[in-house]
This record gives sequence, structure tokens and C-alpha cells, in this order.
Amino acid sequence: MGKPLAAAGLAALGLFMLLGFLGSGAALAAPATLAALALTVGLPAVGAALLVRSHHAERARLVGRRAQLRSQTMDAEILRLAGERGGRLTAVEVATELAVTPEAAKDALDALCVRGHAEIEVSDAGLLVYGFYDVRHLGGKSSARGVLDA
Amino acid sequence: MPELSPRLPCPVCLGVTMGRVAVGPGGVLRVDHCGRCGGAWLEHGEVQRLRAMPAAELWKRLEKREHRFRMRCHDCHGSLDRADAKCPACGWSNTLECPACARPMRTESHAGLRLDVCGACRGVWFDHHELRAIWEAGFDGALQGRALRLAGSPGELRSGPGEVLLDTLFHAPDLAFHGVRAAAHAASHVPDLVAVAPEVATGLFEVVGEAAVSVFEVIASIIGGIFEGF
Repeated sequence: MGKPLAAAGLAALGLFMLLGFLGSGAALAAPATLAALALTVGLPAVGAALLVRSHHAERARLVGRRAQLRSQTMDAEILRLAGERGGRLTAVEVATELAVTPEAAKDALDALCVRGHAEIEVSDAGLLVYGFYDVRHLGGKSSARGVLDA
Repeated sequence: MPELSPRLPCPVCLGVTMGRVAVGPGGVLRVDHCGRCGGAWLEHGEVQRLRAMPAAELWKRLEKREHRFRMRCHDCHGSLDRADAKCPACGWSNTLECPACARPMRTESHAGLRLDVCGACRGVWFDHHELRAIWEAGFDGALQGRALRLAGSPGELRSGPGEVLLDTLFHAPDLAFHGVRAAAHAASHVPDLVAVAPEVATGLFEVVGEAAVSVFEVIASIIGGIFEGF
């Protein structure tokens, strides 16, 4: 909220000084008038424009960061769901459990496959099933040993 | 009959859709509840309806959590307590977007609690610890206090945090709404002021214009003096 307010203040200052210039009847050709105009009108206007631009860039960055967090939370929820369903999920299960569209569920599962967290399996009926190897073998983690002992 | 209304996203977790929990006898009230962080979204009017029920009705359907949920900062994704006003790592202002209308919500702090209220749709977001603080400890007492006050027994009043919250937070959106309505109503009954408004505006514009000319001339003369020096 600070930047838009500061931009509005600078824009108001620039307008105020522009009003002063228009009412003064000063000759535009005079170097002193041009310099005064640049200093009192141009500079605040440029400052206001830069502040507005910076504010929008910040907002766009935050929107992107929120989208990234959404995706990460959804991945975590899919892995939790996989743990509850024996390490195998279908896109329909994810869609119904997380209340997202089947397309969004499939995209999220495919992204997990690409990153190596899941692998695609096909059932006898031709159903695409996403298997989570790590989740399926969590029960055996108590038998873990040092890498050199394995 | 399946639930056909759209499920809302959790404003804290992001990426999680809230479930609808039926509360009260016969499930008369449906509260949007996030199974991940344990928070709840109460739409306008639902707080009052929930108030009419005993606290136990709410906890029959919601699981109580002992550990306080730590959210992730929406900007730097660091771990953050919901009570923090800003992220200690990146300075992100800990304000949520309304799950219903996606507008930024305003925060109301009272008695150590920090509730998020949407000024547009007048819903309220309760974090899990806020739900517990209000509905578990002081809420029934607050209700009794209000009943006693209405019955004219001020000596028996209790003034705990629940009472303060009831009086301030829950009615704040209504008060704001009625305040705006009252202001609009008052404005509609002052046509004289509206009639003289153009004259006042013209006079003000002239005064501002003269001031602007003076300031600009002073600055131009200062700069002119600098140019003459060269």
C-alpha cells in the first residue's frame, strides 16, 4: 500500500507544479523554465511511474510465488493421499479427494512422474495407475542400514 | 443429495480445497473447514448461527489439535506462525485473501487473537487455535454474560475475551455496513451542500492554482539565479 500512496503523492506534486507552470506564463524556451519544469514536473512524474511499475512487478511476483506454493501443497497432499491408499492412485481419486479437476489432478501426477516420485502403471482393465515406490515401501524403513553395510 | 456448491480454497494453505462440515442438530450449518491447517471459514451470518449452538456441537465434528499449525509464507515459503504480522524472513505482510471473493482480508486483533475479516463478503476466517480459544473457553461464558446483561443482572456479567470478541469482532462488519448506509442516507438529505459544491470546488481550484503559480515562480527564479551565476 505504501508504494501506490507514494506514487499518488508524487503524481499530485507533479500536477500541482504543472498547474503552476501553466498559470505563470513563463517562457518555455528559457533554460531556467525548462530546468524548473524538468525538476518539478518531470522528476515527480518519472518517480511516480517507477513506483507504480515496481508495485505491479511486486504483485506479479507474489502471484507467481503463490501459484508455486499451491503446486507444492498439492504435491504434498497427493503424497499424503498415496500413503493412505497403499501407494497407488488414479487421477480420478486425486480429483475427487482434493476437489480439483481431473485435468489438474492428471497434470500434478504427471509432474510427479517427471520428477521421479511416481511411475505410471496400467491395470488389466487399461486403467492408468500412478505408483509411488517410496510410499509403498515405507513399512520397510526400520530395516535400513548404512550404505556400506547394505 | 450430494453437495453441489463449489468447495472453497483454504486461504492459509493454498492448493488445498476445504471440506464442508455439517454442524449442529441435523447438520443445519455447513462450515468450510481445512483438514490440513484446521482453520474454518464462516460466511456472513454463520457466526451468529454457530453462536446459537452449544460449543460441544462444533467439536463433535471437528478434530481438536494440540499442536499449533505453522503456515508457509506466501512469498518466501518459509515457516511462519499465523499470529505473526509479518514474515520474519522476507517481510511479507501476513494477510490472507478471502476464499470466497479473493479480495485481501483485513486483520482484527483482540485479546491476543488475530482474526481475518473480509470487508466485501463479511466472512470471517478462524485459525484452529482461534476456534479453540473462542468456542472452547470463553464462548459459553460470553453467551451467558450477554443473556444476563439482557435480563438486567449486570452484577453477574463476565467480561472475558469471548465477550469482548462478540461485542467487537462479530458485529464489526455489520457496523461498518450500517455506517456506510447511514452516511449515504445522510448525504442524500443534504441537497444544499451538493448545490454549493461546484462553487466551493471552483474557489478551491483557484486558490490551489495561485499557490502553484507562486511556488513554480519561486523555483524558476531560483534556477534562473543559478543559470545567471554561470
